[in-house]
Amino acid sequence: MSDHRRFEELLALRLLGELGHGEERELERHLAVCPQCREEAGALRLVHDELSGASVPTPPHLKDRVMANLPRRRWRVPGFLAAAALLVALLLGGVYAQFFGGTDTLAGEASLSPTELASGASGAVRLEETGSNLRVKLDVFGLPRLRSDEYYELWFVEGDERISGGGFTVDNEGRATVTMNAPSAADEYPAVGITREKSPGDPRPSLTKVLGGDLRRT
Amino acid sequence: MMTSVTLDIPAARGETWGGPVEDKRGKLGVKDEDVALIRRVAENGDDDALARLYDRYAGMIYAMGLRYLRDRSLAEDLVQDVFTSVWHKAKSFDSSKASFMTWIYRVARNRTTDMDRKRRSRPRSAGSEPLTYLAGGEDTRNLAANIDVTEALSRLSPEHQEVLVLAYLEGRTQNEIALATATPLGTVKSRTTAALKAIRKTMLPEGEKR
Repeated sequence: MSDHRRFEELLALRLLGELGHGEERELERHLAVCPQCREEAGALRLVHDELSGASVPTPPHLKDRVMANLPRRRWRVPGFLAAAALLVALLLGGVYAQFFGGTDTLAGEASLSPTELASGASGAVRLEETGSNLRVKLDVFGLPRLRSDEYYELWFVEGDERISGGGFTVDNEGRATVTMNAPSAADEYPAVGITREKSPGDPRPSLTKVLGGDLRRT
Repeated sequence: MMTSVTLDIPAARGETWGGPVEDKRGKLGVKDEDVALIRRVAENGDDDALARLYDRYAGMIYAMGLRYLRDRSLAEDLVQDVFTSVWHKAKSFDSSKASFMTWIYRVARNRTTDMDRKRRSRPRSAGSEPLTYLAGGEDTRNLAANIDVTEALSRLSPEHQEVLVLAYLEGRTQNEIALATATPLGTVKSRTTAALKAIRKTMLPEGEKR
C-alpha cells in the first residue's frame, strides 16, 4: 500500500474514532509535511460531518404510529371488532364532516359506474386534503344487499396495484354515505373501485368488483 | 407499470419464510438482508420485517424531512408516508435495478418534493395553526438542484453503501461491521475508506474540495 493510500485509510479511521494513539501521532506527523493529505483530510471531514447528520433519532412515538397505520392489518382483527370500529369511524366521520366539512381543499373526485355484478348501482367519491391525510367522502346507491359476514371495500387503483380506502356496509336499499381517511398518496392513483369482501378475509381485493371509475385530480 | 419482485437470494442460502436468512458465511450483508426483509413484506405482509427496515432507515428519512421540509410534524408525516408506500409497493421493488436503500431514498425524495409543493401552494390563513419551522426559515433547499448526502449515499455501489449505512446510520464500529458482514476487518477498513472517497467525489466535485 502506498503512503498516501495508507494515510487516506488512517484519515477515514480517525473520523470514525477508530485510530490508535500510535497511528494518530504517525498521521499528524505526515499531515504536517503533506499538503495533498491535508486537503484530503479537509474534504473527508466535510463528508463525514454530512454523513453524521444523515440520520437523526426519530421521535419515540413515531414507530408505533407508522406500524399502527399500516392499512392491511385489518385481516387480523376479529370481525365483530372490525364492525364496531367501522361504526365508530362512521359516526366520528359524520360528526367531523358536519362540523368541519367544506373547509378543506378538493384533491380529486370520481364518478362510479356499475359492473355487471351490480347493474343499477352508482356512486361518487370525493377526496379532500386534511392535514397530512386525505378525507374520502363516498356516496353509493343501489348496491346489492350484503350478508352479515360481508362488507364493501373502496380501493385506489393503479395498474395491478391496489391500496385500501376502507370498508363499509350499505342499508337495506343498498345506499351508504361514508367519510373515511386515506393516506395522502391516495390521490395519486388514477382510478378507484369498490369490491364485495368477506370478513375476515384476504387482505387483497376480491374479484367481485361492483363499482369503478377514473379519479380526476384537481 | 408494476413489475414483479426480482430477488437475488439464491435458494441455496437456506432461506425460510419469516425467519432469519443467512448466506454461506452465516451472515447477511445489508443489501441481502434488506432484500429478504422487503420480500417478507411483499409476500407475507410481515410487519416485523417492515419494523426492521424502519429501524435502519427511518432516521435517514426523518433527517431528510427536517432538512427539506423544516418542520418536525411534516418530517414525521414523511416517515409515515414513506413506510406506508413501502408497505404497499413492496412487490414493485426490483433488486436487480437498485438496492433497497436507493429505492427507499427515491420514494422519500418524491414524497418530499410532493409535500413541499403542497405546503408551498397552500395559503395559510390568519386563523390556521402556525407551522413550526425549524431554524433557517422557509428557504427550503431545492431538492432537485442539490446532491445532498442521502442522494450521494444512494448512488454508491451496494458494497460502499453497506459499510456507510452500518457505520453512520446504525452507528456500528468497524469491528462490529466486520462481524456483522463476516468480512475481514482489514477489508472493512479499506472499503470504508474507498466508500468515503467515493461519496466525497459525488458530493464535492474536483475544485470544490476544501
